[in-house]
Amino acid sequence: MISSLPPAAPFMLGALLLPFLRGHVRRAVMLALPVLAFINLIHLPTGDSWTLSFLGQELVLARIDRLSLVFGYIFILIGLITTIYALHVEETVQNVSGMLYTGSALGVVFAGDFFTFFIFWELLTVFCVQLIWARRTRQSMGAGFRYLMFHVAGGLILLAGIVLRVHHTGSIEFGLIGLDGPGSHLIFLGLGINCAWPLLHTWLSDAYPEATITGTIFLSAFTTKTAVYALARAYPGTEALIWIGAAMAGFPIFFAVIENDLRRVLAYSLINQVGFMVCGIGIGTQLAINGAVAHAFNDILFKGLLFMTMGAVMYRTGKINATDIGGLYRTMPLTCIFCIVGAASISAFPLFSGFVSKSMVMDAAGSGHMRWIWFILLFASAGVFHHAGIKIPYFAFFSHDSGLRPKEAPPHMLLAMGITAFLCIFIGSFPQYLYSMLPYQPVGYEPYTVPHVVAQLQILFFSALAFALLLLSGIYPAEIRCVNLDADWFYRKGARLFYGAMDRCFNRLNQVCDQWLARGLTGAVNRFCRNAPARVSSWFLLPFHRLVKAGDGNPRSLGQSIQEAFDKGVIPVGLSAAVSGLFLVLLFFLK
Amino acid sequence: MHEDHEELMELKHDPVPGYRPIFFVAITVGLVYLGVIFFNTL
Amino acid sequence: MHPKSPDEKTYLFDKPKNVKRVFLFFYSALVLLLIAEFFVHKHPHFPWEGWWGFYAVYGFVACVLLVLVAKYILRPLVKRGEDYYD
Repeated sequence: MISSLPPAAPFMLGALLLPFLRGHVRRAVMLALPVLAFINLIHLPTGDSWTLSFLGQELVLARIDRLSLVFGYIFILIGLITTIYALHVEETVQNVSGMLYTGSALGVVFAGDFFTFFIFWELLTVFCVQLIWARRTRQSMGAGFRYLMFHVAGGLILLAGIVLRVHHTGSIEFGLIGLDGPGSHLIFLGLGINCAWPLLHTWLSDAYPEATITGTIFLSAFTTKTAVYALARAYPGTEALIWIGAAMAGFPIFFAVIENDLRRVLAYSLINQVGFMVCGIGIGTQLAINGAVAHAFNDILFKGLLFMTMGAVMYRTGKINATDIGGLYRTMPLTCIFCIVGAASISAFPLFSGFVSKSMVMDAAGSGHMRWIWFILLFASAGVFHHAGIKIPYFAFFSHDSGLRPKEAPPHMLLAMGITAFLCIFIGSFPQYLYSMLPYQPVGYEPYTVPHVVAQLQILFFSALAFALLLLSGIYPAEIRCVNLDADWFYRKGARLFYGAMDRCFNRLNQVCDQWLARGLTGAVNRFCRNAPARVSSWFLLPFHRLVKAGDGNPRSLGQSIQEAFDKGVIPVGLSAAVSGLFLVLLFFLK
Repeated sequence: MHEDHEELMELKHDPVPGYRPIFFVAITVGLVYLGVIFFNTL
Repeated sequence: MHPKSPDEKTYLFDKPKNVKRVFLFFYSALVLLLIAEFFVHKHPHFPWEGWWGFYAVYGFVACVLLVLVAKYILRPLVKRGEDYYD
């Protein structure tokens, strides 16, 4: 019963139409695509469909189960919201790439085999880079290239892993893998690069703040979350992920505190939030996996909302550094309120969406008596409130009065932010709807207990107290326009060093070869060959010449006359015969 | 919008008199209490 | 910070009274939360969670340490000029 298309198809096919449409028609089609994709998705039967035979293997374009469905729903939802937010953008590259990027993300989560998975995985990178380059600044060009390099390398590692794995098992089915052999480790690493693991995270904090205003919303939703999905599918309960996740949750908040570009602050907090998901997947209990998936769902919404509000500020003021903006609540009150909703959600305030999902991962760590993990996650929870929950709204909308009085965000942006803000509060207040979508049923988790609410409010309010006291006592670090080095230093400066070293090494070698071999040696051989007959002849003839013309002969004039004769080709026959004979004798002995 | 808007190189946070002692008292009490809790439970 | 043009309207937090109100609300919330904990029956995973005010103290200390480490250790290590990579 195949009456519907593969889940990615509405976006992929629809995107191909866009270049031929203009104005309202194009906008209408872009808004219709997510709706069509959703209708298509709910009509697909559970289980594998759209299976194709390919080189004796079976490709599965639509594997519908609870895990893939929840990611599918949120991807389509954020695709719709971002399209509304981006209605003012009429630029073919951005419009088409956005749709294809969304389609690729759907393709990844519904792929049932490695081949389909890998193809869509690579397409994610291709279309993502378009959204970075579309900003058309020098920084975005550079960041896009670095992004591309990083992900192409990651893709190759993934491909190597897949090849080893398929060779080992003989099946291209993509399912539970677990760490058992070189192939699975390489796949693990390949997924980790898209997941922004520590030291592999630099593409994210490098490129996301350089993308277009609307492109960043797409970016924040798809690449890392598809990786989270893939880890949840293939490596649930892998212990390494617990520590990787805890590290991800912990270290970016330090960078976020001293970062001046507010979108880069959000990029760091994105890594921090993905850390919670990765940690949950590593813990691997039903509660933890449910928590990781629920948190991915919520994070797409509240991180999208925060990026949208910062995008609106950029759209109206053209600035995004904390040093340049501030006090914008005066003329952008609605954007400010939406930003506060997003900040409350990411900080996991009760009644906001983060509260009902982050606590599941915390609770799973507590139930497993992983005390150090629990401490790190609690530290990260306090820290995320500090940098994303307070810093973002405070420095953008309050803080010092920058004197900027921009207009409120345009209506379509307000609508997109309003929908997202509503969803953040709705999910936070009525978590049962989200819980009913999670992979393991029944969820059996109740976030709203009195001790939990009091504990969470305590940690948040006293984090806020820390911020207030640090600020008022003048200890809070100043916002400074600067570059903060991160692990990307190794390839950004390292590549330059490598280039310099290669330049010196090989160009010097080239020069030396040119001088000694190309010019020196060949020239010498050339000269020798050209002059050899004349020289040899004069050596031979000189003694005879001296004998014959002893006394008045001039040996130099003989050499010159022989040379002249050879140059003009007027050598006496006897001489030629003598030289040829000599050559034959030489050959005879050499043989 | 002000015409004379200029971009700051650095946005400092000037201390409000009287808060520094409060902060030092608060962080000292916090560290000591946290130390006591962990000493008794870890 | 900026000279205000006389015709510009006064916004919410331009009045010190409103800022004061926010802080009053904030400080009373802190106190209320600490008092509320006396009436909460807890069922903790770990023993330290049972101590009064654990979450409050942990949150406060964690954030202060976070900021101090970021300011005094991380920033001197990683801060470079804006055109460092150019």
